[in-house]
Amino acid sequence: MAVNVPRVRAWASGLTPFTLLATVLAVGLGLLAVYPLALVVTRPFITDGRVDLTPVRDTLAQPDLDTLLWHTAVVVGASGLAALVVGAGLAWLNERTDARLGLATDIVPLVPFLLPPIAGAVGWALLGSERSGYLNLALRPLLGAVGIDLDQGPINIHSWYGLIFVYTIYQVPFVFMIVSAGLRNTDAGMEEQSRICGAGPLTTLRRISLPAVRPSLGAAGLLMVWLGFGLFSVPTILATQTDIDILSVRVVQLLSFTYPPETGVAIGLNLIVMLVVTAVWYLQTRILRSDRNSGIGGKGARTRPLRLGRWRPLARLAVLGYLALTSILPLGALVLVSLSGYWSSSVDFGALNLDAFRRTLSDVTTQEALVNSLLLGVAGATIGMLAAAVVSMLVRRSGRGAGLLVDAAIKFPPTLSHLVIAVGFVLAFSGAPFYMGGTLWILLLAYVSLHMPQATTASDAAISQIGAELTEASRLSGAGPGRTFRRVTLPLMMPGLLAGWALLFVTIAGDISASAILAGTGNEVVGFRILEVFASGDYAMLGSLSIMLAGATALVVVPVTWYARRRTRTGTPPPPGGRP
Amino acid sequence: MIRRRFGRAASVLTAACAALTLTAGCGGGGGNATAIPADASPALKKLIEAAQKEGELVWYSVPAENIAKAVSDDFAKKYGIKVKFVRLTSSDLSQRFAAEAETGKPAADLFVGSFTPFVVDANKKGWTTPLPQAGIPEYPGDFPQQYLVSDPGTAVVQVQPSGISVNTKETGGAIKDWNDILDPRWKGKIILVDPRASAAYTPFWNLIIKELGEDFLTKLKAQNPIISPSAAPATQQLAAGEGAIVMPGVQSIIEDLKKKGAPVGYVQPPASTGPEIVPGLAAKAPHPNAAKLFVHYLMSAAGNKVLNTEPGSGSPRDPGSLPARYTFNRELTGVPADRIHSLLGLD
Amino acid sequence: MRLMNDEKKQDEATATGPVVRVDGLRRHFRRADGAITPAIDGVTLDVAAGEFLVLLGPSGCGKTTLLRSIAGLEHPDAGRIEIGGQTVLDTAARTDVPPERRGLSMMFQSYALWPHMTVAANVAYPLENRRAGRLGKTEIAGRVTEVLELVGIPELARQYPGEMSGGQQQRVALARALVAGDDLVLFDEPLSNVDAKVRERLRVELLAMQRRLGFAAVYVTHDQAEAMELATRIAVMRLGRVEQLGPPREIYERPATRYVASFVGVANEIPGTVALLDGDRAVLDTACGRVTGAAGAGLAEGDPAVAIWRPEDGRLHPAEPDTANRWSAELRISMFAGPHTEHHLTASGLDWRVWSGEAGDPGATWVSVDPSRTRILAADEPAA
Repeated sequence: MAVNVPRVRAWASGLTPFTLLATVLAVGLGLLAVYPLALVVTRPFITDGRVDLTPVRDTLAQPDLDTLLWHTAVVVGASGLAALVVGAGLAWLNERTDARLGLATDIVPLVPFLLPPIAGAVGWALLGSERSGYLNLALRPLLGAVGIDLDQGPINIHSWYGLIFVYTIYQVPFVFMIVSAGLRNTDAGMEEQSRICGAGPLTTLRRISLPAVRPSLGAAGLLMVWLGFGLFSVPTILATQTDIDILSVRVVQLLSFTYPPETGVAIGLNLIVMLVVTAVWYLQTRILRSDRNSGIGGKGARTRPLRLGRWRPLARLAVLGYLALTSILPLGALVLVSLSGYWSSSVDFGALNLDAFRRTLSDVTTQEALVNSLLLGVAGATIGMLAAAVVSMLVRRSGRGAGLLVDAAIKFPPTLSHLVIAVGFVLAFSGAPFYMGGTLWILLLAYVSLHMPQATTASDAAISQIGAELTEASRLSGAGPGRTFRRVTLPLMMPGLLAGWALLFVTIAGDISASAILAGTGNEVVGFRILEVFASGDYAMLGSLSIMLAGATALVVVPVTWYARRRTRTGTPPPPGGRP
Repeated sequence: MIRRRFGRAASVLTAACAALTLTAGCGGGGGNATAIPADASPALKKLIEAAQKEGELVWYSVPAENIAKAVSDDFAKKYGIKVKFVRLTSSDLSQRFAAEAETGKPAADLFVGSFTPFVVDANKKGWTTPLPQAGIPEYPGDFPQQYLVSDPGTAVVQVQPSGISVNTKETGGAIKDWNDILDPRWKGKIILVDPRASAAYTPFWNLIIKELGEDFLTKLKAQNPIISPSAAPATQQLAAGEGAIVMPGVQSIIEDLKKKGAPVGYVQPPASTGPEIVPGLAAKAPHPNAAKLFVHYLMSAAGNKVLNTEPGSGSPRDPGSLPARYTFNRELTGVPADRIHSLLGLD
Repeated sequence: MRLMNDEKKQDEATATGPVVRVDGLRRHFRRADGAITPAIDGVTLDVAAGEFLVLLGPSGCGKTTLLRSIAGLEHPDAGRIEIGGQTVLDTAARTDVPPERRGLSMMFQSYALWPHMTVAANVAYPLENRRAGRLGKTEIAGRVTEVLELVGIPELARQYPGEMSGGQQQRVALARALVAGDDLVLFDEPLSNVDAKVRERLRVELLAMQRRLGFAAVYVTHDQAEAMELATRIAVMRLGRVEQLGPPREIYERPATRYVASFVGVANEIPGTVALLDGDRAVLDTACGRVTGAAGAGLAEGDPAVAIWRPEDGRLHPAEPDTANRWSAELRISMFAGPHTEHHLTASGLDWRVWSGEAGDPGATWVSVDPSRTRILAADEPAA
């Protein structure tokens, strides 16, 4: 790496309107993340103008701190590992083998994401509860037929494995996205070589393909630690019934149980998360530093899919099985509950009715909320991904200096409980001089800021695919940084950015965490409606609302994913045909 | 090709922004100006006129959505003032109201929420105006004295007594009072709504201890209850037969499910307490007069009746709608939350 | 040729001096273990208009860093660079002109073709970016066609780079480097990725084009044969320094150091001690007896030194000849290589090679080398 002093100077002398704009944007995003947070976080630590470390002591004095951390670590760790295996496997099948099923394989991992986590968790509770879970109701007669008689089970979603399973489903899309990008980066020649050396597809995957995408796996691992700690709806619904203590749930309890909220301890707990994430982040940057290969070089080699032979139908079955398990089942459970009107252990098919859908559709507030959510999804994902692309470019250009700091400022705040951050946004933007309280603007700001880790991870993956020489060649062709970004970097990043866009769109359109505090009469959004409906105990409407949201977001995400796929194809056309 | 794509992205963005401003700007439907009631006192007439000039009211509601909507619609029809409300859980309400009050630009004119320490604190911090000092005409009028809260100067306009929700298929008529829950039959079939979820549950468990002793909690713990994060999923589980009993049960949720044909019922033991709903006027309300008029309305015989028509809410103006031995939250503060949680084995 | 006549300001360039002037350039890198190593350690050189300068050296010698510094892609720690009389880098004055404003072209080792653009779009790109004398669409299209014809791939204009063979991609990259008609074109090992036959053909074409268009070229390679064929001058680099700078013939025949001699071509060595120094002649005491040759710089009597001679200068004799430098040796093996036969000899534990027209028989033999074809050089490190 370069000695720092000349690097800074060079950076300064290369200052153009574009880099200036990009820097301002990145710093702005950093401030957007840090400033609201600082308003909330510093408060418990400063009493009468002095730094007060009581919250840290209180945090460490929590009687069951070790259990809490241990349980959380087990769930986040185990689901992270599982997601790495599943996500990487799906990515490999999709990128490298002839098992891919066209567009379906691209979309499969995303589908569970179409359901907001709260709806997904409810869906799984409906399916896997011990006595009356739909799955158990369906399985017990089958088991009875082979002589196994049970009056509850065999599945219990309110358990360690159940919780880890649902966590995993919500982690897989990130691994899939990042590892796919990584695979596109690495030369398929390595795998062909491995096959020639006598290794089968599985050995090749294990010994060659996966080690080659280690940096991507590292990035995915980081993002999962990041998001795993933050996931709230799933553990509230699934972990409370068993004795599993999850940190995100505890934080919200601390913030909600008393007034004034125990913000100090809540933040103290979050700081522990932040420490873990920082450690993982540091490890990851070390891994990334040693990785200098990038995929889109100037020669654009493209892979021929690996033939799986007799494994092919099996692999396809696994992909479809995953789709069924993670998407169709919970969606089906929600459809069933909304048609029945309530969760019943004996589904009376004659009494099914569309009442809940009718109520949902005819509700003006819900219509407004749906429109707002989709608009916010489109605007937030677009702004977020463009900003992320610029930030990734800056971080890559500036190496390990200031860029990394801004990157951290953008990425770290969302590790804190979103409830805390949302309160920070109210404090920062509701009153003078912004007066954004109750408008869609404050939601847009909060959504963009909260989803920057996902966005920058996607854009980092996208930019890592572009060889440095491609941009250098543009500079040498007389194009400044701005033009180079627009004409070369951005178009080449486009497939990766679009994939990130889809993910961002889906999560923003279904956001629940920030909406709980920021949405209201003037800025109704679906996530907030879902919370309201959940609080009033109307599972039927919760189901119909979630299904409509999933349908609406799918209408946007499917064409975008399709377009992204097509672009990848024309962007990096088929391999050199061996013509002289 | 590249220019075209950019153009498209830009136009999508502009469209989205335009739509954002649009939806943010236009609100829900309003009402027509209605005549001021002839029998109104001069002070009330003045208040109505001022409120109508403001033309709008925004409030945060803990009472369920259908109730909030019914009240809003009735008030809008009666006074010709556009009403918007946000339904929130008790803890979300305090978080949000506090944050907004601190910025000095609250979005809501008032909240109607559970009487928790937040209500006291909000008054202490000057975020709310006590009702007696707000200049509400004829305050408190004929409102029952015992429902007035002197600190911080507010009034209980609704009581939501807690009870027991049951799955009728599982329990039949076996459950009549709190003690029936301890029958070994129900071991593993009791769904306990997590008392750690909200401070609003503390008075309830204080009541149970006061009536039945700490022993009850220990025995309840021995029943291996299923812990549910809140009343809503608990009641759904009950309907599905995951459990036979939900404690504490919320009647309004049960009635809703019963209407849809779920095998659930609600039992009201005579000794009870529950969330007490009080209004809190935002000190810097954007529509202060509309807010005062709304409080006047909620406390009036007509308004209070609309607020408390649904089963599960008791009206201070109608003692018959309350359980036989109702105890106020303010009298139930002896046992701290930590003690309750540890007796129930929840720490 | 329009490409050149329209745009070249050749008179200006030749009138005001060299196209590139590098002065006291330094660039350090920090390794992973924290140690600081110089990549360029004080390089000073000029490139004249129309000159073909080759930077030659093994990997890690700093040649690519030097090239990238001229391009503006590296940011040196110290030194000055002028291009066409304009200062583009002056670390003392904190000047560092970004690459896009240095008015030069570059061809990358990986070609760096943009996969999302057609060949025509790739080649048109530099023309679309120029600030002064912006060209119209039809004019750009005309130039693109012209330059694609020049590099022999007019039919590929509408294809994408990913659809072509390595040799074709290379021609596209070359076309893109030439299209702007800059006075200076940089080449970073552009021929290392294609097979030998294509490489040879492209080498000839490249040289012909350079001569025709008259641009100054700075060309990085580690292939000494390529360097000698292409260069008007070669800068042999070692550990960030220019070891020797001169025309290929001078580098080959009169290497300044043992390192240059052993890196460029094959060198037979006889180590010894300087016995006598007489003007530009030196006599070396060696294990094979006294060796006379042309003295390199920096020698003193009594210093350890090395006598170096080229295989084609060795003569084999069945019996002891009557010449100055003659040594008895053992012929181990002879290999017929077409134009000549390579004889492997050992003498006093040294391995030599001699190329000659005649066949040889294993066994005792005599070798002689004309003293004027023998160089006596200081005994520093040879090339690896």
